Amino acid sequence: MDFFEQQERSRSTSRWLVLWYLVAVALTVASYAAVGALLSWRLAGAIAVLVAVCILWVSAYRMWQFREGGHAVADLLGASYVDPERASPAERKLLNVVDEMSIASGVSVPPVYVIRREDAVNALVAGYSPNEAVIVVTAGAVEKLSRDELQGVMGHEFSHILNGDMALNLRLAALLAGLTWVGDQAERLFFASARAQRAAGDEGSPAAFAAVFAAAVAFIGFPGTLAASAIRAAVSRQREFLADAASVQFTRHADSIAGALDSIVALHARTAVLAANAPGLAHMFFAPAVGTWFGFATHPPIDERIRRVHPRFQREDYRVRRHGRRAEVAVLDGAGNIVKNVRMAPAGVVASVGRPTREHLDFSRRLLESLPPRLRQALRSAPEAERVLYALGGFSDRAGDLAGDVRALARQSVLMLAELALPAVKAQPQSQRDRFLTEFASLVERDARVTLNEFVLLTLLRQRLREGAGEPIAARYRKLGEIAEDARTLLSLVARVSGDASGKAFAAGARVLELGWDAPSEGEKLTSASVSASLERLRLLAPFAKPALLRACVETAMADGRLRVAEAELLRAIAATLDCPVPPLVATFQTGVDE
Amino acid sequence: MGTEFIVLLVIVGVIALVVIGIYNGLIGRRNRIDEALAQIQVQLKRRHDLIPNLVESVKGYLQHERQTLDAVVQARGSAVSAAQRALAAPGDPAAMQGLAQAEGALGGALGRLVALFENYPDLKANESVATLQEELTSTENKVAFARQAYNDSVMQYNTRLESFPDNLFARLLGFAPAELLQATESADQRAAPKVSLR
Repeated sequence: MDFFEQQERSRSTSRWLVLWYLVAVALTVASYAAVGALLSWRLAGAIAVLVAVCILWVSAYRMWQFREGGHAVADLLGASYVDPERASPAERKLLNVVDEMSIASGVSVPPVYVIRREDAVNALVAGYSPNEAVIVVTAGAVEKLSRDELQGVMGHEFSHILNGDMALNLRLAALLAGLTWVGDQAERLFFASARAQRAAGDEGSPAAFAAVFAAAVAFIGFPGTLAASAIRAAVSRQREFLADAASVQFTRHADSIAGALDSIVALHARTAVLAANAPGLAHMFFAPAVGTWFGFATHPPIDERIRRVHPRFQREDYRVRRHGRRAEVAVLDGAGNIVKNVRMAPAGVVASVGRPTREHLDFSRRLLESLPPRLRQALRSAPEAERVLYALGGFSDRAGDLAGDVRALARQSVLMLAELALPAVKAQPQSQRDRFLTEFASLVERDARVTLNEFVLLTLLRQRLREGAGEPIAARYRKLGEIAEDARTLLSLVARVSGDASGKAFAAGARVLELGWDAPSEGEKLTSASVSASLERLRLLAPFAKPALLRACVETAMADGRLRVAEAELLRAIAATLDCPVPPLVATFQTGVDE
Repeated sequence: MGTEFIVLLVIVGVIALVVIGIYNGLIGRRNRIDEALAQIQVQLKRRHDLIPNLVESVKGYLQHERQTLDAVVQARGSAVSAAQRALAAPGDPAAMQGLAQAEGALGGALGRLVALFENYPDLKANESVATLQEELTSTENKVAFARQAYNDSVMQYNTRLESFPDNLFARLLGFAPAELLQATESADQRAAPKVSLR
């Protein structure tokens, strides 16, 4: 649809609008007159004339007020003009973005107004013709949105300029102001007199009478108010989708507009503008400026808008990049003390696979230094190292005198110590390694129940000591979909370990894989044997399909914003099995949006 | 006068009206292309004017980065002279090609300079540098958007030129298809300002 078609369509909508307006006026007049008719026909006639005159007069007055176009709207909202010569850095950025969009859309640069001291994120454009349009932006939008996002919002506003929506919007605002005037005045009177009544404190005062009268008038005028919001919603909603799409046409960057919409959600930003005249102009704003009225929302839901303008928008990834939704990951020393907090996003945990940093290496060095000398000594010979591993599994009868030393270690160091003990065990011939594995497995199953700690340790040992450990794995499954049930089992286990009662954590991981699961596997399926079997199959997945699986596990484990030691250890065992080694740090606290 | 004559007159009249309509439509679109081209030149000029200021204010901080700074200054010099050559010979494909290349090189050099800023916290804290940085980002965006607007208007014009019935008369009326700007390094140019000073 080109410029001229848009303009034409807009004009035909305008004609319909006038018709609906007349219907709504008739409705309002009739409802007031009907009440008068209860007493006498003459009274009904008088009321009808009075109400009709009020409505038409106010509409005409607003039309006259808006003759100056956009500037009048900016004044109504209490916005102040941004002088390019004296703009603050943030305003400078806004002006630049407006310039850029005007170049991209070929519309002349409109004057820019900012509603100062308005924390909400919103914007509008007003005027009768493209050449006298005015852009009004809230201070909140200028501060909270990134440069790209601001560009997306301005692109949206420029499309309103180009589509000829503005003149229609202004006319609509003027007409509806008349329609809701009687109700608005009554409402105002009601609140004022209710206040006066509370101040006076006695019953039956004139204030109380005024409050009852006002409430009655507002109630009778309700059909008019309702009709006004219905008309407003009908005209506005569809246009917002069009304007979003046009914004992409100008910026050629769908993340801009989708990101701006998403940031409103992610930052929990208010979009309702506090200025007294904002409700009457609600249909002109970028985002909803007043609450929803009986289902007549002026704007489509934000999620729906994002989905339409950018169906493949990666919200999670965008938020991590934009707001740094990160978990605080603690680097611990051997004694379990926090050495340092590192902020890390789930994506960052996956990205650190196979890339140990200084911190990770420091961690193992520090752990090694903090070990008692006898334990350190034990790590060097195979039989002793095996005893350390038995001790870690909690089999004190096999660990001998090392059990006490190992028990004294912090919980966080368990896996790390296992890694340190493994080289000596691994140095033995394969037959010895297999013997040790069988032995360890039989000990784990001895008491007929497998604890998470045992499961993690056994999985890790099996992975490190099996025949051909460390060699590339021959992939058997090309896509995760081929062994979807196994992935589900695994994810369910992670969700259960993270204490996911509501299924939210599972859903967070399932979203990454997009295999259409809505609930985790049943509890009885999650035995150590079935999970081990699933892991073995997942191990044979093609390498490029693995990061997504690991990512899903991390998302599930961190869905509550925390990564506990148990979760971290399970993740490490999973990662080791998939042959995507994760550095040993992780153990942790909370997450939050950085603002 | 016979009826045949009147019928003939009406047909000729209708054809004349159609041709006038086509002519006016094409002229409007061709003017938009010229306007878009002028806009590109305005933005390139802005870019050239901004660079000396930028280099001057960051020079103190970037003494160990002489190479990068010199590269920017040099690229600017050749871009300015390429722009003058292009202005002297409008429509000369070789001059336009030279200009596009020089501007592409300048965009790349600027991108490298801005990427360097990341390593100098003092520099990022400096208010006037931050202002210049914003101006640079904006100018780079404006250059890119001006090129985009130019290509959009060329595409609309060409589409119109090739559609029926305009294609019957366009050649006769002296309208030739317009050239799109090639994306020489334009990806680079758009990428450059994305390096933010956060």
